[in-house]
Amino acid sequence: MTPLILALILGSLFSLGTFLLLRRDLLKAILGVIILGQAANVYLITMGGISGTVPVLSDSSSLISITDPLVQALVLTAIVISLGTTSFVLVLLLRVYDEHGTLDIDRLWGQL
Amino acid sequence: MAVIIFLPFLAAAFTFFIYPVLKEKTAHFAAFIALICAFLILNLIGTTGSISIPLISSLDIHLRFYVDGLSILVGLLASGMGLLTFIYSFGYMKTKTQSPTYYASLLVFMGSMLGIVFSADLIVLFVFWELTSLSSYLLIGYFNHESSSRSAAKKALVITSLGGFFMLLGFLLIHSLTGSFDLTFLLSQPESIQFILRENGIFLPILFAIIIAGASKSAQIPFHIWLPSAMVAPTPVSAFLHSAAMVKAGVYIFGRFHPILAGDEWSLILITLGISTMVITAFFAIISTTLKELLAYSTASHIGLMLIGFGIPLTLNGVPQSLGFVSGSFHLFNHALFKATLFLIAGIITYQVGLNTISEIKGLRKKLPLTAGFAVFASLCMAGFPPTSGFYSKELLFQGIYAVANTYGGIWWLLPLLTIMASAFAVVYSLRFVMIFFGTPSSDQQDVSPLPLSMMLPTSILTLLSLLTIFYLLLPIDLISQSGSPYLQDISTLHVGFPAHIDPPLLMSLLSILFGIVLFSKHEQILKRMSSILPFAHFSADSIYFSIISTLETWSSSLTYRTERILLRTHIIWLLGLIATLGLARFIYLKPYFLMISGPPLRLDFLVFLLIIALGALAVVRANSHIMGVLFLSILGFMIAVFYLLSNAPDVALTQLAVETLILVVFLVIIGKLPAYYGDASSPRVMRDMLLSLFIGVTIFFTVLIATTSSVSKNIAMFFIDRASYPPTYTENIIVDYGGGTNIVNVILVDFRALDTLGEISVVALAALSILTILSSRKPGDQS
Repeated sequence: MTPLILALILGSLFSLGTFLLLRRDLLKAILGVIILGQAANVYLITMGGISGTVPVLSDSSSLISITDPLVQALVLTAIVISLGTTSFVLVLLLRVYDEHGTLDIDRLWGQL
Repeated sequence: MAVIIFLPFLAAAFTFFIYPVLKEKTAHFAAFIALICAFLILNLIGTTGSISIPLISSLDIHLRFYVDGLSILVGLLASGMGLLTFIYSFGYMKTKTQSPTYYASLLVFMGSMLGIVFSADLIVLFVFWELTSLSSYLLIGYFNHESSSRSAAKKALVITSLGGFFMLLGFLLIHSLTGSFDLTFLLSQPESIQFILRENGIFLPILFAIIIAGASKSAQIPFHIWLPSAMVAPTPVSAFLHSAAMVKAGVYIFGRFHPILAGDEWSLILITLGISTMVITAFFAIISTTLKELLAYSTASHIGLMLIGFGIPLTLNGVPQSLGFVSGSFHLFNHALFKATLFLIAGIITYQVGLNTISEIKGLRKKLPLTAGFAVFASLCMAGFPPTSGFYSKELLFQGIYAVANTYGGIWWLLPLLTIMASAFAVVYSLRFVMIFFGTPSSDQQDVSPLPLSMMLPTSILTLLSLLTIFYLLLPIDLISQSGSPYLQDISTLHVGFPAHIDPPLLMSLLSILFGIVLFSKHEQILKRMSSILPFAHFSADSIYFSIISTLETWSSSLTYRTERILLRTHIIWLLGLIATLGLARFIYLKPYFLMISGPPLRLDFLVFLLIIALGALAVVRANSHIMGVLFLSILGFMIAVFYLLSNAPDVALTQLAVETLILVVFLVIIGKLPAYYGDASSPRVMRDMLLSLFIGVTIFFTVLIATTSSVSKNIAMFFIDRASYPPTYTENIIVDYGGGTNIVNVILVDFRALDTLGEISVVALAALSILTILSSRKPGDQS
C-alpha cells in the first residue's frame, strides 16, 4: 500500500507543479517551479525509506533499520540551495515587472 | 618521420611572426621548409614500416605513420611541388595583395597533404583530410573581396567535406568490425579484412563511403563542379592543388584502400565512374573558354583515367596482375609533372599579357619562346603523344583496359572505345592550349614585361623532370612497387617502354591521336553548331548544386525560426512531453502495476499529512490571487516539514522549516509590489496544459512505484552506517571520534562531504550578491 499512496501523492504534486509552470502569470510559473522542487525532495526522502529509525547514534538504537543518512544530507543541501535560487528568482521577477510593467508572459513575449 | 608532417604546421605558425620582417621573401622561407620535407622524404626511399605515438589510447587512436612506395611517391610530389609552388609564388604574388595567410595556409595545405599520405591511423588520416579541405578553402577564397572567390571556396568546402563525412562513416564502419583504426594492420591482411567485412554485410556501405570520399576530393562526376570554380585561386595554388594536393589526395585514397576493397564491385564502380568522368570532363575542356578552366576540366578527365587504372581487376582470367595499380600511380606521377607545368605557364601568360581567354591569345611564340617550348612539350605529354612520359603511362593503362575488354567481352568493349574517344578529346584540348602560341598575334597586345626568374625556374625544373622520366621510366614504377600490396609481385613482368611491335594498346594510342587531330581541325565548326545546347550541358551539375544549397539554407532558417523563436513554455511542453513519453514507454515495458499491492500499509499520520500536502498544491493552483497562492505554498512547505519529521529525518525537517519561513518572508516583502493576478486566457490552452500535466503525473507515479520498491544498493549509506556502529564492532568510531558528533547526517554534511556544503554556502552567497546587484542597479525610468 505504502508505495501506491506515495506514488499517487508524488504524481499529483508533479502534475500540479507542471500545470503551474505553464501558466502565463510569471509568479504562478515560479510557484510551479518551487512545488516541483519540493516534490523532488520528498521523492528523494521516500527513496531512502521512511519507516526506519532516526540516523542519530545512541546507546539504544539499532543501526540495522536506520533510514538512509546520505539521502537526508543531499536533500538538506538541496533545500538550502533552493532558498538561494528562489530568493534570486523572486527578485528577478520584481525586476521584470519594474522594467516591463507586466508579469503576463504573453504580453512580455509581445514586447520582444 | 613525424618531423616531415609537423614541420610545415610549425612553420605556418611562424609565418605570422616573420612576415613583417621578410615580406614577400617569406616565400623563400616556405620554400626552404618544403625543401627540407622533400629531402627527408627522399631519405625514406627504400624503407617501409610504421611508427606509432599514442594519442588517445583509450579510443585506440594513435599518431601512426606508415611508409611505403605509394606514400613516398605522393609525399615526394606534395613536398617537391610545394617547393616549386613557393618559388613561383615569390614572383607571382609580387603583383597581388600579399598577406602571411597565403603562405601559412599553403604550408598547412602541404603539411596536411603529407599527413594524409603518411598517416596510418584512420582517424588521424581523416583529420588531415579535413585539414586539406579547410586550407584549400582559405586558398581558393584568397581573393576574398570577389564574390566568385568566396562562392568557389564555399563550393569546394561543401563538396569535399561532404566526402569527408562519408569517409568518417566508412572508417567507423571498418572499426566497428575489425576493432582497429590501424591502417598498417588492415593492409597487412587485406583479404581476410575484406572477407570479414563481406561476411557481416557492411562491405558495400564501406565501399560506397570510401568511393564517395575519394570521388568528391578528386572531382569525379558529379562532384567535378568544384574544380573548375576553384581556378579563381591564385595560380600557384591551382598548380599545387591539381598536381600534388587535394585532387591527388582523392586519388591517393583510392590507391591506399585498393588492396582492402578491390573486388568486382570496386572495379565496376571505379571503371564506370572513371570512364564517364573522363569523357564528359574532356568534352567540357574542349568547350571551355579560359586557359585555367581548360586545365581544370582536363585534370578531372585525367583523374578519371587513373581511376580506371585502379579499377582494373586484380585477376584477369585467373592470372593475378598489378597492371592497374601501377599504371594508375604512374599516370598520377606524370600528370602531376605536366599539369603543374601547364598551370604555371597559364600563370606566366596571364602575368605577361594579362589575358586568360583562349580565343584572345595568339602567337605568343615570338614573345615567350622558352615558355612556348615548355608548353608544347607539356601539352604533348597531356595528349599522350609518343615518346613523352604521358604516352607511356597511357600505354600501360590502355594495356589494362584492353585486357579487361578482352576478358569480359560484350559491353566491355565500350570501355576501350570510350577511352579512345576521351583521349582524342584530350588531344583536341591539348592542341587548343598549344595553339595560343601560334598564329599571328593581335596587334593590341602590349609588350611583355620581363619575366621573374622565380617564375621561370619551377617551370623549367618541371619540364626537365618530365623529360628525364622518359629515360628513367622504371624509376617511379620501382618506387610504387615498394608498396606492401601483395598484388605487386609480378612487377618485373611489366613491360614499360616503347612497344616493339604494333599491339592493341599502341593501336589505341595511335587511333586516338589520329582521331584527335582530325577532330581538332573541325572542332570549331562542330562547336558552333552545338552552341545552342552548350550552356545547358555546362551548367547542369552546377545549377543542381546551387539549388540544393539554397533549398537547404531556406529550410534551416525556417526550421530555426520555428523551433527557436518561440516561448520558453512551448519548449518546456515539448521537452516534458517527450521525456514523459519515453519514460512511460519504458515503465509500461517493466510492468510495475504488480508492485502496487506489495509493501506494508501506510501509517495513518503519514496519510493525513500527505493528503494535506496534495491538497495544498491543488489550492496553490486554484488560488485566484497572488497572496493566496503564496500562503497555500507556505502551508504546503510546512506540511512537507512535518512529513520529513515523520519520516525520521529531523535535520531535514528543521532546515525545511527555517527555509520555508525565510521564503515566506521574501514573498511577503515583494508581493505588495506585484500586480494582481491575471487569470487564464483561453480554456483550450488550460485543457492542453492539464492533459500534459496529467501525463507527467502518471509518469512520475510509475517512476515512484518502481524506485521505492526496487532494491536500491545502499553501499554509500552502509559505508557511513558501518563506521558509525556504536560501540560493539569497531574499536574506533569514525563518526563520533573523528566527526565529533553523533548525528550521522550532520557529520556527513560537515565532514565527509564538507566540500559539497562549502559549494552550497557559495551558492547562497552568490544568490545574495546577485540580489543585491539587481536591487541596487538602475531603477526603471533612470537613463543609463
